[in-house]
Amino acid sequence: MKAIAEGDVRAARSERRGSAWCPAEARRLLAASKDDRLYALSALAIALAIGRRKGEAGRCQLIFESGVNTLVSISKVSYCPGMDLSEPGRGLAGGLTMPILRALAGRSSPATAAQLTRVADVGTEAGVRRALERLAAHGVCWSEDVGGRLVYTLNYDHLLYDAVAALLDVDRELPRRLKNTLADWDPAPVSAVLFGSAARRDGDVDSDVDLLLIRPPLRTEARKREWVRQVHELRAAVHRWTGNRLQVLDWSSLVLRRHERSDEPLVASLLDDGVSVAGPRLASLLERSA
Amino acid sequence: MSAPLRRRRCTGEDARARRRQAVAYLETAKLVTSDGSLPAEYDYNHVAAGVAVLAAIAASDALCCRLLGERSRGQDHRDAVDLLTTVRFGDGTPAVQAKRARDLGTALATVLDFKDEAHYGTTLLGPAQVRRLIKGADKLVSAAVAVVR
Repeated sequence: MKAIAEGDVRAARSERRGSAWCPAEARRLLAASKDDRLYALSALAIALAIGRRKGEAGRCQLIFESGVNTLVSISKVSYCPGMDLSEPGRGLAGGLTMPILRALAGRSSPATAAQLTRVADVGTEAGVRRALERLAAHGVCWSEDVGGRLVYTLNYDHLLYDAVAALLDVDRELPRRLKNTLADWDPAPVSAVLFGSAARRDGDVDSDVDLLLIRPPLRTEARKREWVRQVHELRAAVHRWTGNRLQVLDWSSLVLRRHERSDEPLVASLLDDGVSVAGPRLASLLERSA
Repeated sequence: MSAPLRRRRCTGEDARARRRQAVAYLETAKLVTSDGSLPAEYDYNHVAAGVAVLAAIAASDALCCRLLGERSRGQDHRDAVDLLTTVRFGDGTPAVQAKRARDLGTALATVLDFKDEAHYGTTLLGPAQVRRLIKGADKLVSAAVAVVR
């Protein structure tokens, strides 16, 4: 394995930077190994070697299906913290501000600091109260004394309201962009589901963006190459959009059914939390194939 | 301000639990529903109606817990509807969001009007009524699924 990896690294250095490796090239480089684990380890060694040379983190993903189709996508990404997937607006307005604004925007009735602390589910009541006072001092929210208790409402007429609404809407921008991008794919995915912390909105700056792709039958080498290229470009695109890494689960329909029948916990999580961004909902897909 | 006796505090975790229950109730209601053409199947339609009511209440609780930190308790249907109409979410201007919340309140009110009959009544509900109930519950559950992650 070590000899394979070193030889492949020398070959890899002559490749164009940042280019996706097409399956034919990858298979040529990995053809010496008949062992599945060596396939994976060799590809990983190549990617890490590239990364070490450049001082960046390398990544690779190796996809198997019954040893018939071997698709490899190797991409090089610079490691840096990304977007806070639980509250993307924190990239511009840190601390408690965004969760409090979200809690205020989620209701039309006035609320106390205690109520907003419970809904925002961050910080202490004292901290939330201080943040509310700052927002009120700038007029972004109103505060009013009702029966000896201060209550707060969002000021929809404030000059900053549109910016606040835009920041609150950012968490829906990622699924929208994925949907728009995948709509132009050819070959198109049978289904695509955003899952994990990006779907649940409970991640942080170090969280990956997890995406399940159900690939269609890829009957020609050209279609396989195009699929890998699309996945590679999507990985780069998500990194540009968020700073986070895209982790792709690239399954065929057969693999999906197999996991569903073996009660794979991930499938339950996909059905429960997943956000569909292409094709029919996963539940419908599984019903059709049952 | 909330009237403490009519409201119960709840958390984001409560919201997620109620959302899951709402989805399960609605799926069950749809499974049980028959086309209702046979008198013998009216029992099942009645059951579907009862379960659809539970789906709608769970979905409303999920939305209120997530966005307001409290939900209505007890038998006061009016309070449950009023509370739901104060939530704000989704695309659009504040006016659009307000209309969305009012529509959900209307759906909940429609469902709650059938609650006593569906759960305790002896007059069986027919297929058209069941379809209305399921449609209302579906609207609420869809909103809960979109908002409560």
